[in-house]
Amino acid sequence: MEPAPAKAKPQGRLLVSTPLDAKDELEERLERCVGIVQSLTNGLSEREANDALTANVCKGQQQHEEVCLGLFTLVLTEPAQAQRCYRDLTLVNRDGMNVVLVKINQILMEKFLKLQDVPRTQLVWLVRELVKSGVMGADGVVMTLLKQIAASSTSCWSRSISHYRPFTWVLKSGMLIAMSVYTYLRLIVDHGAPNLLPLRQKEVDFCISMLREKFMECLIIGRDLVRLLQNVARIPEMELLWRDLLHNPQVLSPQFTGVLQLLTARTSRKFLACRLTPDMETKLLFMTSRVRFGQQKRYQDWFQRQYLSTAESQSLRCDLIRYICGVVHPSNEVLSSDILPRWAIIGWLLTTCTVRGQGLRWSI
Amino acid sequence: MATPSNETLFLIKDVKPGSKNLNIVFIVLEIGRVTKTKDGHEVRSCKVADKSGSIAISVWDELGSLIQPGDIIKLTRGYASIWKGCLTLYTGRGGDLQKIGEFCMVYSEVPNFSEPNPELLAQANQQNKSGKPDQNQRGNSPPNQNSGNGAMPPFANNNNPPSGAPRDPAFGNVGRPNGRSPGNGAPPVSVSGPPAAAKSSVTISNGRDPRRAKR
Repeated sequence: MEPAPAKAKPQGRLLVSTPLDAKDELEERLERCVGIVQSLTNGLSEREANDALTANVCKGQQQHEEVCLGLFTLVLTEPAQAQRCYRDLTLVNRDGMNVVLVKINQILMEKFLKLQDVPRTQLVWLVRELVKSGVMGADGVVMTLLKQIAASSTSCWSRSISHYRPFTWVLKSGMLIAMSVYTYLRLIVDHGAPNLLPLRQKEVDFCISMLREKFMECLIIGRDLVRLLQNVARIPEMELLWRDLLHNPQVLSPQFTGVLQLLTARTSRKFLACRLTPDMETKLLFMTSRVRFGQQKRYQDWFQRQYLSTAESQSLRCDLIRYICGVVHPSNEVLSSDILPRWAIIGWLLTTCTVRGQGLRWSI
Repeated sequence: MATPSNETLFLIKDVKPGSKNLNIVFIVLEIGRVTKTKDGHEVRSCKVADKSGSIAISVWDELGSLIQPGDIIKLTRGYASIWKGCLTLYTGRGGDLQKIGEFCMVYSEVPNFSEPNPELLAQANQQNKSGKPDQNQRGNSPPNQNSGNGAMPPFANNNNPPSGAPRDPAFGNVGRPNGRSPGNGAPPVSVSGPPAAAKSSVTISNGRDPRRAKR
């Protein structure tokens, strides 16, 4: 029996792919747009190229989209030209960068794990530029990016982009401040290993500065902030913060009346969800809405293999349980059907944990 | 039965020995061990399923090493024949296996359409001494089978009892990207104690009808 020859598939510039993967439509579309931009500007001087792009953009919405996405993709794939392409993009764009933001969101939600290294670094750079330029809607994109960072906290990649941490560019939005503090307070707990301590210090410094200078924005988090702070209370700077929190709340903010105020504030679902990557959410939601009770074993095994197989990832279980309790609210229809119930998933998460006891905070 | 058009999607339950031009979307349940063929190729037998049941597919070389349990794959221009008494899918010439997603597909493991069928095995042993299906790549089944899609060997009764023995428990062990580290190939930490089966042994009462819990 002779095997059929495997179809040769050229590697794209954006995503990592194997011969098994189907062609990615998004990648194909973006690369087509690059082709369009390059054909418009080939051999022209900078000024002539700019004119050509502008002229094309004015022809219609489709041409506008093609040029913007082509320039956007060049920013991702050609670091040497990124500054220039970004500048061109800001000059020709006519919709407040919306077409680009939508694509970035799509990449962050669906393709992030498959991005090659260069495009991934470039994407973070681009997001930072968009925020710095005050582009409306950029903070939404930052939140999605934060989710991806948060959930891949121990990856080498996460460490290497530590200098891209949203320190100053976050200050523009109260929600962003709250999200970042929530994310990094959570990450601090995972970064206790000796080789991660410099990273952890940066995170601590960031959180402390936000908590001391922008406390009312951090208050948006709600009562979960207390839980997060409890988990890091032994760190010296945090200990000092706790003293003020308990005995001297006015120091943090004149409007802050004390811990009780914090404890009575509900925490939005958005925060519970931010420790999960879009992919984790998709899979959990699939399990709680489509998988029948009794059929869940393989899905559990696959999820476990992908996300819960390392020692560091065991702390993710708490976040998953919190998510299931706080964010997953099946309809009555689903509840009364034979779809996998939430208590079964929680049971699975609890009983398959490989780390016993210490370091693991199960308080929900 | 006329050859189906290239776009028609089949269900696994409709696959018969000699079926050709099969386009099927399935999810991968298990990857079998690698075996080497006489001409140096690697073959893996994988258990795959859709909502109508499960079946075995043989995958060669590189594609076989890339496939992971949980992958949702579209087979185009596949064919089916009997290999050692079991109905098996193959990728035909001009056909392909493409991963189009992962995890989010509902499936039924039973019936297992690759259940060994003793009648067919006996037929195969009688008429085909080498034990190999036809070398013809267009996917004609071994000489003893009827060619074309119309014939229905007795095996085709789709209500075989589910297989008690799993085909091959050896799982593919390559890590899937999870954002944790690039190319995470670390072997999974072994779980101490049995995983929560959440089957009928559960006695937690949550006020729901216990009859529904039994599956």
